[in-house]
Amino acid sequence: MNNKVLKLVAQIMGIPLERVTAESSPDSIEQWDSLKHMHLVLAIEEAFGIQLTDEEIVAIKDVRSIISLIEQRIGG
Amino acid sequence: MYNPYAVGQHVYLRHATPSDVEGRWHEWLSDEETTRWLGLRHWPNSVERQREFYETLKKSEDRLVLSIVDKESDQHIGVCNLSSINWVSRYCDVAIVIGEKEFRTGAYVLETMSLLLRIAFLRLNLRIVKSTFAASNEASRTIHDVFRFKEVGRLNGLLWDRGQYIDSVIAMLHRDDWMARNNLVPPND
Repeated sequence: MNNKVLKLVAQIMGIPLERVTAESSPDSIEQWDSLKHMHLVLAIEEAFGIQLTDEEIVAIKDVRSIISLIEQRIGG
Repeated sequence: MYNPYAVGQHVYLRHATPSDVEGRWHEWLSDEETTRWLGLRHWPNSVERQREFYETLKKSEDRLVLSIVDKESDQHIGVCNLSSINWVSRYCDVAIVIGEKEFRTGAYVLETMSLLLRIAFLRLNLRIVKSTFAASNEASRTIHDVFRFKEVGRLNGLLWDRGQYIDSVIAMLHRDDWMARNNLVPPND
């Protein structure tokens, strides 16, 4: 699951997978701007088949928060 | 925090103050990039015009304008509003401007929209939040998609943008849909 999240982030940001880690954030990925952040939210919903609440949307701030969110929602 | 009206993780919203008016608010609404998609903002703004606008807010009964403030720094970073509030039919328009460009990272605008929707639906008891945006404004379209606004129509070729006419998209979010998504039970009305 973690790898799926990393691949998703790399795809949305348009960067090589090797540059994405669990510690990645808008501070470490230059391409991570407002538009890509919103695309990432939509991509997470589609990739994992979930619909996020507003609270969950707001909680997404970096890769680790995405992983934590997915673990809470679907486990694994 | 000063006089918070709604509080999130990254920002809080509060009533606009004279110091906001005398600050960078008027500059945001002159900036070409910031105002590109703001319907009526084609004229240069000034602190005098901003003061006049501020005076109109004091007596407004259908326009809730809130300053967006970064919680960590307590810096005024933008402005948002619920406008054209119709208290009988219970709907309003929504708009957000993150004026300070270093705060355009996604988290701030998403949280601001989240707070505004909570205000509209849970605090002001409105039924519908509607919005219009330029069809080629990808950021605006995407935030509407994130919060599940539905496109309900278009005004074809209404807007002029850098050499071409583009559509104005009309979108709506109904309270019951918003509540269902947020695991809340809508009232019987």
